Amino acid sequence: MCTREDTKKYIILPNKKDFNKFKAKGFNSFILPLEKYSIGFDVYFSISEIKDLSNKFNIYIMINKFLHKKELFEIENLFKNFNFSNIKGIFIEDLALTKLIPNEKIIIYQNHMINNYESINFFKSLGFENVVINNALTIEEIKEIRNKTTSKLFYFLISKNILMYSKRKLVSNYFENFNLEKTKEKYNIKEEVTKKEFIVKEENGSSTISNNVIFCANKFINELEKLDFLIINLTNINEEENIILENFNSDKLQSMINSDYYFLENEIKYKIGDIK
Amino acid sequence: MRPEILAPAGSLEKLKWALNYGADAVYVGGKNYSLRANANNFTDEELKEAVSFAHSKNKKVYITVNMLFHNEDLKEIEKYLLFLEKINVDGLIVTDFGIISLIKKLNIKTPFIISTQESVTNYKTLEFYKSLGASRAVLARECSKEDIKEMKEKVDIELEVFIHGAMCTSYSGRCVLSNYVTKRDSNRGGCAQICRFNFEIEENEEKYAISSKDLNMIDYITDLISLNVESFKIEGRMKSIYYIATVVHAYKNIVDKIINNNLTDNDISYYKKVLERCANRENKAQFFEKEADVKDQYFTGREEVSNQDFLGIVLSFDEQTNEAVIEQRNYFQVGDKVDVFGPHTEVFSFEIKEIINEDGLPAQSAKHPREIIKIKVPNKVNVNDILRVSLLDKSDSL
Repeated sequence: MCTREDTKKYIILPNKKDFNKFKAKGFNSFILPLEKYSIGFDVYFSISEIKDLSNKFNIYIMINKFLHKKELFEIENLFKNFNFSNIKGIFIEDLALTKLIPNEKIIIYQNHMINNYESINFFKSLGFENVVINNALTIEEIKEIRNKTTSKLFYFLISKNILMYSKRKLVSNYFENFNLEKTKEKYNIKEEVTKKEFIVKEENGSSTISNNVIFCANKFINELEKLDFLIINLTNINEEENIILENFNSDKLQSMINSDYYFLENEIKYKIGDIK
Repeated sequence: MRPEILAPAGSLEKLKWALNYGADAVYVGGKNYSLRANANNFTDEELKEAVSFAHSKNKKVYITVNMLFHNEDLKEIEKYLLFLEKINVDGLIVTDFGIISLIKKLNIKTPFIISTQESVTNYKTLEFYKSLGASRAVLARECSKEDIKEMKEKVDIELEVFIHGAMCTSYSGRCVLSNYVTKRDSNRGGCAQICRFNFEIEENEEKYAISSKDLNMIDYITDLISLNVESFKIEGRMKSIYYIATVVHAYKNIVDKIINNNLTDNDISYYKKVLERCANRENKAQFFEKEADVKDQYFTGREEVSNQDFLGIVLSFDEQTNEAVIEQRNYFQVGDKVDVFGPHTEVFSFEIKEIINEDGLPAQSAKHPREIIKIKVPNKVNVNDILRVSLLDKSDSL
């Protein structure tokens, strides 16, 4: 079992509501996706569940959906009398929430969007000093960001990342179009040419596509531990869960599971002429 | 209030066509930092010329600086932002908070506009951007009429709404499939459009695809005008001059007719035909009145038909002989019915009675790309008017 000190900067995004297992392994910090207002996860939590759990653990809330008129109205009511003091932080995608949540609790989580030190420092100047940095950064870029910011930096260390978020019913539409029977909400898909595998999931009229390969950055754990918080996202992870929890801070973990850390070592190109 | 028609321009030539065909403003990208990294885009000199050309016509140029910046990309950007301010561009379209930061640090006076990549869907988010000093926001294409109405009512900031063109399957900016499948960065202009690829899906034989049909808001222009949306945006910096001229011309005429209170069902019917044919993909209103559904999506990777409606461009016209010199763009022949339209030419149809080729000889057809021919036309036409396959039928009286 790991010590509390080992797990201090690690936060679990759980794939089940059984917290005893995580607690037994020494983990004490959790991200709880708020039901109805988050997407792409295995389990969601109501406000009352979150309140209960916040008495036992370090609890962060995840709200990663874009809010349209109706959702914004609902969430304004939900938070009207909410006591934020017991919550460590709230991961937000929609910046409307900066108007509803105390600044110090906000964790800017614009999926894939935060890629440089200038934007992080700007958020800090606005009063938001907690930021999730993108997973498609090289380790050198991350080091430079660390050196040039004093914000609290969060990073998805181990995760089947959400790669796409759509307001379309990408599962139902397929089955309706081909007049086939839909038997579940989540399917594995494989790109025809590259054979890369993804997971498509539809929830409440919106959809996400996640990578079916685990992004695992542990090879660079010594550098990454200089960040403030490292997230272990167990969503869509079952078989490898125990190995991950046992070896979450090992620099050998990536070799124990089917994983990828391409972006950490390869600068990604965007002009066709730059692609060798 | 008359809304701005805002057109895409992937090159100086396209910019001139867009403005000449009635766009009030264009948005363009420089050689770096925009989300169409593989379009021609504009050199600094071309940007100067673009601004000068647009301003001479009392029109505007907005510059897309809307990619997501990595540390390395920040090195030269300050110089570029200062250059854009110096040449008097009318707005900077931005996504990255690092760029907003630099605009403020450098005290750049050029207004900045929040890109659709930030997916603004509600008034509180809009308030947030207004508090940063943004002059305008380009709304997410997923916004409904009710979303837009509330934003317009509650926040005093200009709104820009997409009315036509391709759209992402995802919320804009929230897709990195391209990064993972092709190692090309979608949020720095390298998107490989993985949503148009085919996938295998477990347990099922039919291929899985997720591509969105294009956006077409022709049925809701009256609503958008009544909502007081300031800018109507057309997507397509990679599109042809024919596409840009056609779409700009169609929407400009529709907006003018709504403002002048003389839009007819025939107009709508005609322009629908025009807009449906000028791209090679189907188009729909998507999220404005309802949630997008099965009819708003493609289910195989490519369901596009090539379009050869663009027949030619008028190079000159002789009022004595009614002869027009035409640069051919697609095959047509004697006996074909064609339409002519242009910035100052009302749409009309006629039958090609005779074609005179480059050697001055009668020809049965114009079959060589860009060959110069002469034809007789019944009405006056103007330089840079466009000939296309006729879509005007007897029921259309524009």
